[in-house]
Parts: sequence; C-alpha cells; structure tokens
Amino acid sequence: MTFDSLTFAVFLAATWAAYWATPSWHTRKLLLLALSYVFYAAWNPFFVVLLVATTAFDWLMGRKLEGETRQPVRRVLLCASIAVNLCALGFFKYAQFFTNTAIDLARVIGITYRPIDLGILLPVGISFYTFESLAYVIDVFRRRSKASTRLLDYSLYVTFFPHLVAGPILRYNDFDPQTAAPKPFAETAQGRGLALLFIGLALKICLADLVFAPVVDTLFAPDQHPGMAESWLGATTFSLQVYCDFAGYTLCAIGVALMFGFRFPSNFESPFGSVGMIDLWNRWHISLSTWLRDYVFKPLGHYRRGRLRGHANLIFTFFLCGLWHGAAWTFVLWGGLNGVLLVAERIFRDHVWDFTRVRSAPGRAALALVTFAIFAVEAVMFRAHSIHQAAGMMATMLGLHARPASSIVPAHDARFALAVGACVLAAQIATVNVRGWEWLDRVSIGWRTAVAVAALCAVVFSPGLNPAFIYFQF
Amino acid sequence: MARRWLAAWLLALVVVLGAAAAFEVHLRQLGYVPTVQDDEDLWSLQADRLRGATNPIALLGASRIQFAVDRERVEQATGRTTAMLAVNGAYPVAALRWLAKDTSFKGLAVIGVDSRGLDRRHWEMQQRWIDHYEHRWTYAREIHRLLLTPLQEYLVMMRSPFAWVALARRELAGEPMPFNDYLVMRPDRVGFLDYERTDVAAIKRQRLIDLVDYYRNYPPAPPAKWLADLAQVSSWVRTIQARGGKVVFFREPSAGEHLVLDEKNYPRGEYWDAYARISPAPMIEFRDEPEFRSFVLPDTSHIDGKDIPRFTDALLAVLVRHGLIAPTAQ
Repeated sequence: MTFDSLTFAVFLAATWAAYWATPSWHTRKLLLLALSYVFYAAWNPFFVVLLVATTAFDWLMGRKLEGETRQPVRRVLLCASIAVNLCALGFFKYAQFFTNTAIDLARVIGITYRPIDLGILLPVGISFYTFESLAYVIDVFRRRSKASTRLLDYSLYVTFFPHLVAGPILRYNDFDPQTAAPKPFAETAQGRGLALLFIGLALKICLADLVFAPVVDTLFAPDQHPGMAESWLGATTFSLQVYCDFAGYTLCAIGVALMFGFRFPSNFESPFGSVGMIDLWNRWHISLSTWLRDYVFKPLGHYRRGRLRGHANLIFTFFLCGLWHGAAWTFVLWGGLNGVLLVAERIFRDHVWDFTRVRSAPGRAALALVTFAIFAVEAVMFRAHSIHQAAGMMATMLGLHARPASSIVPAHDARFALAVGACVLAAQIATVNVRGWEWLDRVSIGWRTAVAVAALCAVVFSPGLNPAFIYFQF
Repeated sequence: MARRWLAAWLLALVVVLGAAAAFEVHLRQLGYVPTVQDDEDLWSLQADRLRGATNPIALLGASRIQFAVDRERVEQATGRTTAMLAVNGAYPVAALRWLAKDTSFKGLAVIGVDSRGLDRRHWEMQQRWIDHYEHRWTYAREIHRLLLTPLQEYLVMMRSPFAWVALARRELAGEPMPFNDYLVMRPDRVGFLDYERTDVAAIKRQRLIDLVDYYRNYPPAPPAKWLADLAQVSSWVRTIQARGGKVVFFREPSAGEHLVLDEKNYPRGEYWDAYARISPAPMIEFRDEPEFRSFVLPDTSHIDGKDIPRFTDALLAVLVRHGLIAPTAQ
C-alpha cells in the first residue's frame, strides 16, 4: 500500500492507535513487526515468505559471525550471506535483464533467439531491504556492529513498514539502540511527524503527480521528438518530479517513523541548492550514496591507491549505483555518467578552478543552477525509454543535434510547471544550509499552523489518480 | 503531543475543513454534481466479480455498452453474476482475448462492438486495464478504491478536474471552469448520460468532426484483410465455447450522420455480414432487431440515461430470442 492511498490512511490510524494503546514495549514491537508484514503482504502475500526467510538467514549469519573467531570461516560465512542476498536480488530483479542482454548479444553475432518472458515479479522493496541486510552482515563481520541477539529487533530493523519498500536505507547501528527502550508518547515528534507526512504527501501528490508528471510524460513519450527548448523543459521537470516524488516518499517515511517514536536519517538535504555534483550526491538519496561509499567505494580502496585507481573506483561504484536503480542499460549508463561527472569535477577543481570556494550568495546560486542543469541533462538517461531516445534528447539539449523547435506541451502548462519548478529551486537554494526539519519545533504556532494548512490543503484539494512512487520500481 | 503542535493541527484542520466545505458549496452552486470517477481500479473490482462466479455474464464493449446497459438490472433479471467491463473510448477485443485465456470463465460474454472496433488496429485498446488487473491490482488498491468510491459519490470536489493544480492551469490558459460533465457514473461503472444538462447540438457536431477526422487519418483495412485478421478472434471465441461458455457480438445502435459515415467506410455487407457468415459466435445487428428501433440517440451514438432500463430490457429480450440466456430468466 502506498503512503498516498486511503488504505494507508486507515492502516496508519489503526496501527498508531494500537501501538500507543499497548503498554508493553515488547508487545508493541511485536505488533509493529506483525503489522509491517501485513503492510508488505498488501502487495503480494507470497513475498512475505521471502522477506521472512532472508531476514532469518541474515540474523543467523550475524550470530554465527559474532561467535566465530577463525577468520577463514568468518569469510566463508560472510560470502554465503552476501551470495544468498545477491542471488535473491539478482534472480528477481536482474534475471530478465541479463536474459534480454544475452539474446541481444547473440543477435549481434548472428544467432537469433526469440525474446523470452521469464514472468518474474519483482518483490517490492527488495533492493532496499537487501542493502540493509548486507550492511548489517558486513558490519558484524568487520566487528563494527554487535550481532543482534533478538530476532524480533533485527526483523523490525529490516521490516519496519515506513522504510521497508523505498528507504531510507537504515543502518543497524542507528536503529538498534532505538529498540532498546520504549518511547514516551508526549513528544513534539508527534506533531512534527504528522507535518512531515503531509509535506511529503504534498510533494508527491501535488507537485510530482499533478504539476510535473503530465509535462514529463508528454515529452518523454516514445513517439515525441522535442526540440531544444522542450528537451530542456522535459529534463528539468523530470528532475523536479523525481525529487518531489522520492523526497516526498522519504519525508512521509521519516514522519511516520517519528509518530512511532523512531528516528530515521535524512535522505535529501536541499540537493538542488548544491554547488557541484559531488555536493549534490552528498545531499541526494543520502542513505544510498553513503551505503555505496561504505560498502563499495571504500572496500575497493577509494583513493588510497592513487588518483587513477580512485577515479576508476568512483566510476565503477556509480555504475553499480545505476544498476541498483534499475535493470536496464539506461540506468547503468546513467550511473556511469554520474561517476564520470564526479571524476571530471574532481579534476576540474584540482587543476582549473575550485568553484566550491565561491562565497557570495549570487555566485553560489548561479553555480547551483549550473549544477541543476548538469543533473537535468544526465537525468534524461534515467527517464528515457531507450538509450537511443536519451541520446537524441541529450544531444538536442546540448546543441549537438539540430531538431526543429517543437510545441508539444501547451505553453501555459509549460509556464506553470516552470514557475512551480523555479519556486522549488529557489527554496532549495535559500535553505541549502538548513539541515533536517527540527526547525519546525522552534517556529511560532502561527508558522506551524501555516505549514500544516498549506500541506493539508495541497493534499485535500488534489484529487486525482494515484500513480505509484517512482522508486517503488527499484 | 506538545500543546503548540496540537493547537496548530487543530487550527489547521478547522481552516482546511472550512475551506473544503466552502469549495464544495461553490461547485454545487455552479451546477456540478458528484460522480464516481472511472479508472482501472474500478474496472478491476468488476473483473473480480467474474472470479469464482458460476456462469457469469461479462459485459464488454466501449461507451455504448457502458452508458446503455444496466449491470444490476441484467443481474437481477438473469440471476447471474454480471460484470461491467466495457471501457469508454476503448474497443474490447483485448478483453475477449483475456477471457479466452482465463480458463475459469465459462459464462456469457456480450461484446458490444462494430466493424471498426473489430479492426486489428483497435485490438489492444483495453490491454491497459487488463495489465493493471493482472500485474498491479492488489488488496491495498482494492481497499483504497472501496474507500474512495463513496467520497466521489457524495463530493463534487473529489473529481480530478477540480484539483487546484488543474484549476490553476485553466486560469493560466484563460479557460473557463471545467466542462459540466453530463455523465454520472455509478460505482458499478454504469454511466448515465443526461442530455438535458448539456448542449446536445455541440456534442453531436464535435462527434461528427472527430469521426470524419478519424476516417480520414485511419482508412479501414480492405474487407479481405479485415476478415482474415478475425480468424484469431474466432479462435478466442471457440476457446470460450469449448469449455461451455458463450460469446455474442452486438452491434449497438448508432444513427444519423454517424451511421452514414460508418456505413460508408465499413459497408455492412462487406464487413459485418461477411464475418457473421463465418463467425463461431452469433452476431446481433441492431437494425435487425425490432426492440432497438424506438430508441432516440441524441448525439447519434448514445442513449439518454433515462432510457437505460428500457434498453437493458430490450437487449435481454434479444439475447433470449437468440438462445443466449434462458427465457425464464427475464
């Protein structure tokens, strides 16, 4: 069930009431776990079995790793755990992709196979909970985490419903201490949690779905060939759509968790106020980029083994980032492109101009807009239906491929989307140094009411269809 | 909850509920009425009715079935579970194929379609609804839809054209308030058109322009090719028949210039009748059935909502005469 559905509203109200009405902390956690499985089963009850099995397996592996002192045996246990997790992820998410790729490659050398539909359903959230399980097992192996002694607490770490299907990707060391003692009800977290839930819903329902999606869907339709201006319009509105969609989902998750007394890490920190792509990736999908840093980039040796090796490590890490996002070459290339851009920025800053040292507000704002433009260009690869479509659109945007001016989107729709987009960008640039949402607790009651009214109105006065969150597909 | 947050939320709730009430009253004063909004989820609820039903009736087609046949009335008259699976603006061949593949379906499929709708070019039009049902229909969506429907039944502001973003766009474009739709949809997807609430002449004119454009852009396939393609449709019909089910193709009434244009592009003798001679399913043409002669089609293609009970009874009578439902069922 998605956060923007009436099903979730009923589920949340019932779960919240039952949770706070339960006196025992142990029973509360049991209740949360059981209802988290119900939440997951609402998509496909059969995949609950997979979730329970992988959770139990990794918990057992953690216990074994903790008790084992022989390093070769520990390595075998770690590899077994990683292999099981990656095999499950690989089968459900990538089997069709690799099959298609093999068929395409065979065609290149003259062997023709009929396309095969493996008919594999993707368990929702598998990319997210697999990464959480991997992080836990690796941390226990490295002795950076104590293995969980309570299966209930570990299961709750993996399964707690607000983050289960689209993150943020939690770390066991952050979550486990929160399961130790019950949280008192009377906290400002309740009010702030509700505010974050509605702000997140407003971003998703109102901005992503109603303002930006219609423009994006029109311009990225496979049969459309937008000119330069409309290609830019499509790319920028898609960047804003994916931000509002995913940041909206994450805010909902953080808000809902707060309403149950749990704190989740921030996942987006005004990414479009960033100066440079390195800064942007420190602010965009933070829980994923830090995961990749800690469990891929650093183990590869990051920049310890020289600049060139470091650059290669960075690009490889972002290739994986792309592959994590989706089983399609467009995503892989999008990831690789990001890696190349990050390397290019490092070289540029080292040898030409370190623009991050610019201190003036207008200068930083201008640099933020340039960063956003670069992000928008490569985001085309993320959204396009094919590499061919993406390449054509990107080339048109950069003036490398002349296409006649187009007017696919009605002018007033384009103006409206651009005006709203400009507001989102301006707000991010203005609040680039504001971290988290604790400031909501410090403002006056008038401001809090205004925030609540705005978020509620945006949700209540936006009836329509409820398309899935973009990141649910990953 | 900290007192200041509680106060802020209570105040916000009062303000938003007040604004919503005022907006609702304003829309009603402008003459808008609430209606259920059709979507893939509502279609899926109907598709669910076929699951486990013995000898159900599936009503397939486009708007001429959806806005003309009362599903409830069919169900009451026949005593058989009936599902409204027609989709406004989309021809139904994909739905026939889907029923053929569904080995549990052993009922009667009433397929409202004309020669144009049988053209291969239109076969995939309803596939989107089927894909949704097969791949995205979950318990969560079902509960959401069941909760949303009563809200749409009673609140005008739940209609998507009244989303603030849609209204802001209209304002920017200099367009007036949304068209006062003369369609009221029931939760079971049966639509009632009220021609007294709209400009019939304008609708008729626009329908004609659209049809002329359509036939200019998409000329019909030659009769031989059209007929050859239908071999596949016949195989789906036979699949249903082989397991005890029945299928009937029903060419619903059209009139005036609409009928003239259809006849000019898809002459009955070369298309409909040619297929009727080889079709494994009976084919009912409205002009052959006296029951359909008395209906007025204000826009040349659809009946008024008030005529739906009479039209439904007429269709049931024709189905009885063709031996597709039991005579006692009526």
